[in-house]
Amino acid sequence: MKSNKTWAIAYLLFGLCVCLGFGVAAANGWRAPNLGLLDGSSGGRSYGGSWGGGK
Amino acid sequence: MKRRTASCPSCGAPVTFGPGSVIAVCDFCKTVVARGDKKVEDHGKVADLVETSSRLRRGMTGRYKRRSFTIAGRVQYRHPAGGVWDEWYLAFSEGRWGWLAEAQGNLYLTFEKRLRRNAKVPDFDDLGVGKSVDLGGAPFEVFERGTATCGSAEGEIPWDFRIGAEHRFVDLQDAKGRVATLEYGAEPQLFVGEVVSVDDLNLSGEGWDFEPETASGGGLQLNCPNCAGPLTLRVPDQSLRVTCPSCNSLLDANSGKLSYLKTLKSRESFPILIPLGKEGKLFGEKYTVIGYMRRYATWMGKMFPWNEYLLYNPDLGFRWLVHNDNHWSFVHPPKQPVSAKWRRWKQFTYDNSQFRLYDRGVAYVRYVIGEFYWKVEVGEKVTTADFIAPPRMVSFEWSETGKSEELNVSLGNYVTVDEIQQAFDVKSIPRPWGVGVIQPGPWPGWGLFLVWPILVLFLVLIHAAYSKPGATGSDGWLCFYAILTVSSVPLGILAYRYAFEVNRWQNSDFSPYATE
Repeated sequence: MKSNKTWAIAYLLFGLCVCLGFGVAAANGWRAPNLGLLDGSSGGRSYGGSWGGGK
Repeated sequence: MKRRTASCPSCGAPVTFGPGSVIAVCDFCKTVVARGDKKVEDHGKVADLVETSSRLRRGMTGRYKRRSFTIAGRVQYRHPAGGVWDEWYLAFSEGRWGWLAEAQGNLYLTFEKRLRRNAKVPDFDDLGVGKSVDLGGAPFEVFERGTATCGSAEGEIPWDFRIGAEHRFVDLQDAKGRVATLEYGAEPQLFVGEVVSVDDLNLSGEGWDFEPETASGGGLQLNCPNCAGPLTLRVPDQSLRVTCPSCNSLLDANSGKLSYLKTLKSRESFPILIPLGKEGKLFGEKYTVIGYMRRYATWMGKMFPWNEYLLYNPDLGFRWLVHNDNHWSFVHPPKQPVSAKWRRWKQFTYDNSQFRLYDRGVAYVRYVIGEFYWKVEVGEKVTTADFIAPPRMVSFEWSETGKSEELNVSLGNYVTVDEIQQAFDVKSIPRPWGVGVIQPGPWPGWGLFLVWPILVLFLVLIHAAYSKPGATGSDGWLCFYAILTVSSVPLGILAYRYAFEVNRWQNSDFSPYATE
């Protein structure tokens, strides 16, 4: 179907733009901003806070 | 046996018996003349035939599977649920007879098949709808069982026709689409054949070339016997019920003669989106809207109503447009045979698609207006089961009326609002909100899902290339975010599809997404 093809082509173009952007970033050694996704993941009791009695 | 001419015992006019014909109806005085060994017998006079919209005529010739035939006669049967159907008798050149039944626009051509002497034919009362019968070879399944009455007749008949005689019959079908009829007379008789089209019969002869009138073409103008208001019967030969547009009376239509039955509830609350009498073209065929019916089913104490529009095409017969929750489907007889064992199923395969049970229940008629080919009543109920494989639905409707038990199988195809508006030149049909039962799910095609892993692989390769010693050093997090970005589109589509399917099944007891 034509519309299916259009979807695939549009997605391919979008994906190639992402690849291009990432390629430029990698070539220049750019770093991703810290979005804090893993911040605190190794915390637990040692991380502090009021849980676990840490005061 | 050669052709034999005798004198009508009633009027003296000549009547002719061809090879194999047992009865000849006198063209002059309508006497049923039976061929005896030495003399002919008078079996009484038949009433006039009910004028049907059939394109077949006695005397026409044709060819079926390279064998030529002549339409020699017909009998009109009265169905136990009302209405008549024609059975035409085709006299083949080699002396064989074909039985051509014509009902609701469909043609069934069968030939007598002699039952083996030791063949065990089940009793009529044992053959309920859905039962299997071994007729030698593939098993057949019962789709209808009933008792019909001989109405009128014309021409030559290859069996001993008696006016008003009752015929117990069982209609069957096998997995290959072959049809069969068991007739329970003094001795059971078996007829086996297939569904045919007029093209299969290669008909020619006087009257064949005429163009059948569409149902909107004038119709029969009558007056309501209750309020004397004008009304039009668009299919007078086949309509058994009609409602008066002026006083809302339900009328019995017997061959165009009307009689008052009762006054129906006002239709104010039932919006009829396609006006009765409107002509339209759907899937390349012309149809006229001749009836509207409001039906409902109840589920968990809630009423689920829907609307059905009866369409008519003189060549194809009757079709339906079903309007449910502002979603539309076009309903017609399935082209391939469907088994009658629907009561046991949760799913089945039809035409390369897996159909899943969506609901079972009882459907009631709440309101009717227009013309109908059966004796429809408000409150009439049928046992139903719907199986879906979007955009299609196979529906089973089982009903019992007096002496008849019948299973109707139909196939529905999803139709968009735009298609309906365009087909019938109507505007302002409300758009659906929410997911329809057989609405096609959103699907961008497999191409997008093939591109997805290629893009991910491409990103990983770029990351690997720049992570080599001496390179600038690609950031792993940046690569992860890039993969997440390209994956968001296909993952979003899959999530949307899932939510769509959950919504589709939300009113079903058989949802594959049920959590309990």
